[in-house]
Amino acid sequence: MNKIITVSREFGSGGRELGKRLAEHLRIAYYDEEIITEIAKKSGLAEEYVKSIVERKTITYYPITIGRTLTTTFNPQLELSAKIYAEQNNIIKELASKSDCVMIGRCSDYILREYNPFKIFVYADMSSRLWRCRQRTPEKEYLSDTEMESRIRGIDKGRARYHEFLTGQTWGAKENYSLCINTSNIAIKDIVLPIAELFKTIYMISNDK
Amino acid sequence: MDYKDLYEKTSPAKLFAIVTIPGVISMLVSTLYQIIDGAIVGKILGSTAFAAVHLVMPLVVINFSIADLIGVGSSVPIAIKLGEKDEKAASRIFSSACLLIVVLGAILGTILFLSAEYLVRLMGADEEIVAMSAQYLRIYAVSSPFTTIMFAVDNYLRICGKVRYSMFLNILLSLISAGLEILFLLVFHFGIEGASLSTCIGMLICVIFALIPFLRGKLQLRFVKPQFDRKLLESILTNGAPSFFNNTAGRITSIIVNIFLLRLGGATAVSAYGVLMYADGLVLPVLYGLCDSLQPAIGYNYGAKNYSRIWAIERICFSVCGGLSVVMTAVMLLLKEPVVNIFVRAGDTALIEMSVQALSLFAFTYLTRWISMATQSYMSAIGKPGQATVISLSLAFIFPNLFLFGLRTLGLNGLWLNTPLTSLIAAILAAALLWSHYKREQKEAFAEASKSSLNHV
Repeated sequence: MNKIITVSREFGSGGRELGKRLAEHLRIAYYDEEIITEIAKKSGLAEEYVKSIVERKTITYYPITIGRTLTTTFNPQLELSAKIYAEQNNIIKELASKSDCVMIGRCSDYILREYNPFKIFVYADMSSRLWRCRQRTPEKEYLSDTEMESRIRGIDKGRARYHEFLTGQTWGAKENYSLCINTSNIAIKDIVLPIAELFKTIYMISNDK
Repeated sequence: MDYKDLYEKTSPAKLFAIVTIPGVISMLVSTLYQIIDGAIVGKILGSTAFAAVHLVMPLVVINFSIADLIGVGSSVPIAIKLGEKDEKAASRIFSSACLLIVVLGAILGTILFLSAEYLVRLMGADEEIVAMSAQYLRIYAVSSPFTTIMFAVDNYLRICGKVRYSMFLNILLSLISAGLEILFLLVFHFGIEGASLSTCIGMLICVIFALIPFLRGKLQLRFVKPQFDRKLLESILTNGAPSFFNNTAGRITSIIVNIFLLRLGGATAVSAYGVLMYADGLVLPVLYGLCDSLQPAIGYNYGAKNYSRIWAIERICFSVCGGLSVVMTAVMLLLKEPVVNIFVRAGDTALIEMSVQALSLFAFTYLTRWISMATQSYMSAIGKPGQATVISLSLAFIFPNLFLFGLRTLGLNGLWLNTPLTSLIAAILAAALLWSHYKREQKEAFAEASKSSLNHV
């Protein structure tokens, strides 16, 4: 069975960078946006739309009939969203069966549970997340700190809700992960090596049993 | 169907036609039976029976809403489990939901059966109506454990890809019920119980037809041993609640309105209001069908960030709804007598007069009703449940009840004016919400320009 690392992360915690560097260090495949692109290709839906479904749960249906009719209601959005969930599931499993890899987000920790992956959760305090976001935004910046902060919280909320909606587990609850790491005031590149070593050690131990 | 092509490339006008025409037709077909039912009861059994039916209908719908709640609520986790190819877990949720509906149907049916007379008397009806209403309601109550599941099983058929079959069953339901009703009332001269009996038998037959594919084990969902846990019940409740509250809030308002009607004008007033509601049933399905069937296309383009396309589609939707509504208002005002005559016996001058007067005020509802409806549908499509709920609750519950008390001094005219005024205020509220949403979107779009790079953190 292939060795899988999954990275779940708070927005701006450097989780994506950690995943990428781990993949480079271990010389294994790395999947992130590729998953979305692949879902879009296979389902024939726009990439932006797939992203909007995968990053927050939007399935609740509000029928506009106010109950005067006996007509049965059916959720028209459910059909498209269900198609995306199914594709996401297929693609993540397919990629995992190809080779060892690092997967970023998209509930891969839950979907690949049969592989018993090494599940990392990356988090950080708000000030260092703000700092990381600033590092990556261009000079011309319209967002104030508070605006940026509310955006970060909004994205996290979407991730949490989507995760809980699909898996029934609480996003970020320690019992669902192999390693939770606080990256506040830490340069990601400095922790790649020890995490890679930890991954190898744990993997070896669990395979010996 | 290739959604991408339809939603992204087809010209907005063509998309509008392709999506809404079947939506409107299926909405009309499924409500057509109710109109026929109203006409048969009113014409053959007379205005007392007509009033009795209108008095207890809210209770019948509330009973059905429970099944709808479980059906809508459970189809989300079922669809997810099917997506994971975990057919066992999906079947387990499906079977649990079905069992839950049967059990709740039995409990609610028992309550309704025992309290039927008491409830109608509590509303203030006289004994003749109490007896008729109870007779009518008890047939629904007895069949409740077996018929309510119709409202859930429809969802499950669609999840399993049996969309055509589910639509066929909906049409079949209308046909069987209408056919039986004509047979029972016109040929066999049954009383009021014939009206509910025909609906219940129709539903029973369709439930059997709907369950056959599941029982034969040919679908992804099969009947297995049910298993309940807290998570499942939670998920059913959260996913089904909006639909449920929408249904019940409107019905509770109907009950309160009926109490006022009985006090102010007795059975005749209840019948006149019933006429309004049936006339409403000729217009609203068209608007519902238009707005509701556009939801997936709007939701898709919003997710795909094709904002100019949404604008193009919504512009057509708003103009068609608006134009249609003006026409409907004019038709209702010009054809007051013919519309009333569909549901009322020719000799019943008191009721005809009252209904015509009521309709001449009520018809103005349509001038503004479409604004809140189209806005609510739009908000719901783009995933803004908060705004959609505010509009829906104001329309179905808050404003009508405020006007009930506020317009007390106007007597019956106040009641006929209730819906037009509710609809006007709701339209203003909807327009305000739409405006603030537009402003926020503009600001967002401005920030978006600088955000794109944030996606890669």
